[in-house]
Amino acid sequence: MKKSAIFLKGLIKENPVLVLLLGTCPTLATTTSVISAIAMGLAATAVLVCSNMVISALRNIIPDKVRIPCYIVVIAGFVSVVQMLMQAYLPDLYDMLGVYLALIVVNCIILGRAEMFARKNGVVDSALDGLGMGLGFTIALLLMATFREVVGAGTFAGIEIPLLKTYNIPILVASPGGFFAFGCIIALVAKLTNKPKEKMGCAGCPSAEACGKLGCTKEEKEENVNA
Amino acid sequence: MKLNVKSVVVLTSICVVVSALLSVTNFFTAPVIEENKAAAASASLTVVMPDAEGFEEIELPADAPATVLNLYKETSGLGYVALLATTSQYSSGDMGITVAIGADGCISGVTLTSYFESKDFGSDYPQTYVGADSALNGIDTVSGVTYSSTAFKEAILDAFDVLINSGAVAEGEKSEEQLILEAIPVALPGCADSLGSAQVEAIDAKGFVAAYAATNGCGYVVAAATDAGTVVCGINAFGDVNCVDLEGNPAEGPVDEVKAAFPILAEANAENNLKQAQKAAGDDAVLTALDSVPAYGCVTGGFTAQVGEDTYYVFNTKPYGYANEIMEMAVVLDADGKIVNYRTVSELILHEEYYSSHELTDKEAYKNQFVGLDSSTYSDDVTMVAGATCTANAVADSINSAFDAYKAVKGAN
Repeated sequence: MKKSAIFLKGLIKENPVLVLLLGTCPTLATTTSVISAIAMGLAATAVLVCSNMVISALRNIIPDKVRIPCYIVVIAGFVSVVQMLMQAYLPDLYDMLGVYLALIVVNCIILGRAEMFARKNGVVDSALDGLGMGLGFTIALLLMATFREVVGAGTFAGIEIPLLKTYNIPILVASPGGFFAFGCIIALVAKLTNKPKEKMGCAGCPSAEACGKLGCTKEEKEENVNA
Repeated sequence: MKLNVKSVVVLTSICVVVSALLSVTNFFTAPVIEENKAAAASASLTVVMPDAEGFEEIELPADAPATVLNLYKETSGLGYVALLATTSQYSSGDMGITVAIGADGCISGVTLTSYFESKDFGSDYPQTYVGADSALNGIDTVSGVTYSSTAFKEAILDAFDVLINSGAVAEGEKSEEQLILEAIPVALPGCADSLGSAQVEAIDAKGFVAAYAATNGCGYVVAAATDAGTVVCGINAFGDVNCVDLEGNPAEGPVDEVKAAFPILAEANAENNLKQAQKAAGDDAVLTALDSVPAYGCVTGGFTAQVGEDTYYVFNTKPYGYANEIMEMAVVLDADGKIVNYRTVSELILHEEYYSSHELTDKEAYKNQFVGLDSSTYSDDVTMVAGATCTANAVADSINSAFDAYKAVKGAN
């Protein structure tokens, strides 16, 4: 696969949030404001790139048996580093993200990319995959947060928007509004990407190719589509 | 086996490398984080002292009250800022207070940083403290939110205590009215609620400096001018008088004038007292009202009860319970001062929620545990019920007042 394709697939085609539906918890929690969404997205991107690179570099050393604990230690290490750096140099954002910053450790996008991509590909490819997926995550958060903050609170990045400040829908910044916005944006992305209807199950999974298990190779996938 | 060893080595190595990475990061970020925290703390201090140039923390003395968490000195000499945390009796969490006390000993700013009580005393209340010195002259608690406002006031006084004891600021001078009000619970302890505040109403002074009636009917208090200065005299329900000076020390007072000026409440309420005492002592008891009981608790009436050849003492008491509701009890003591019967005229617990969640579901069992106790064997631990503190305090006040009255009667005889 071309380097550009590896990078670009995370943005829309395999967007971790809007297509793979991973990382829903931080997506719903941190998209009440644009600032916190961007901060969360970039923090997760930094961890994703670094952990992908390290895991890729160590892929031939880490025994299969202990790979998950190894991945978790690496990811937790990078998350802690990001946490300390943010607490030191971006304390306001650190306070804004609160517990969700530490919870990046268990963000399934990061462990998912380590397991699905980094352990099977080289360092550069893994870094590009991490960057693409991270930016895809950030874009998804930004979209969600823009919708929720503008329509729900009448502000964008804290800047008041005339008229909307008075006439807004506060429930959008609450949890139910988060689910509503999430559903709307997923539907919109599915419509815009105009995905062909595929069979349900493994063959229909956007990650089928990367997964390579359960009869989901590219060839088998094509067979399933043609059947 | 070889694979297991490799797994252990690899995982351990990764852990070591990650730990090293974290150590290095921590080495560089920890001082910055500390600076950030100090700056944030300083920012909260400037809220109450906006003109401050900077703050340095002062070490608290070993005997500092627990309510005083941190004390800061303003570097240009404007004064001090104290971070306080206190709990009122019913709050679910700490009440956080930041108070600025100027170098002149007066409060220059105060703010409430956290407050968990459901009944709020309002945002204006803390601002009434601005400008006050340690005497807190003219600042009272808030009616209906007594516990919270008292806790607030006590916390502020704790901050003053630490600063005054360390010589940082001078003590404020209390007005005579304040000193009189503070001396009232000393002169007539029966009129004080469980927080020690006098529950009195100002009445016609009848030629004295001031006069008050205890709301529970245990007596009156007057402030009288004497050659030695103002004294505060408590008159109990039997007409006995106890005088103290404004420092709370025993003092000579115009006893006869005071006695003559006020009615004897035990006589005025004789009918109700007799009725309740009779119920507590039993129908067989022949009751005789006591003339003099030189004790100053919440006793409102007293009788000797003759049952056959045995003599008992019955004391009507009216302590303050939950929300300072006046409770009514009768305590029967035998000739040796042991409790024979404890009767509650009003509901023992005024609020039903306590019945379901606390030990007082069986009121009779609770009261029966007092039987046989005298002043030497009784302690307030017997009456204490967690979660029903006010009522338990009232019961304790009632029993202690009865013991004091018994001793006074026996001593007088």
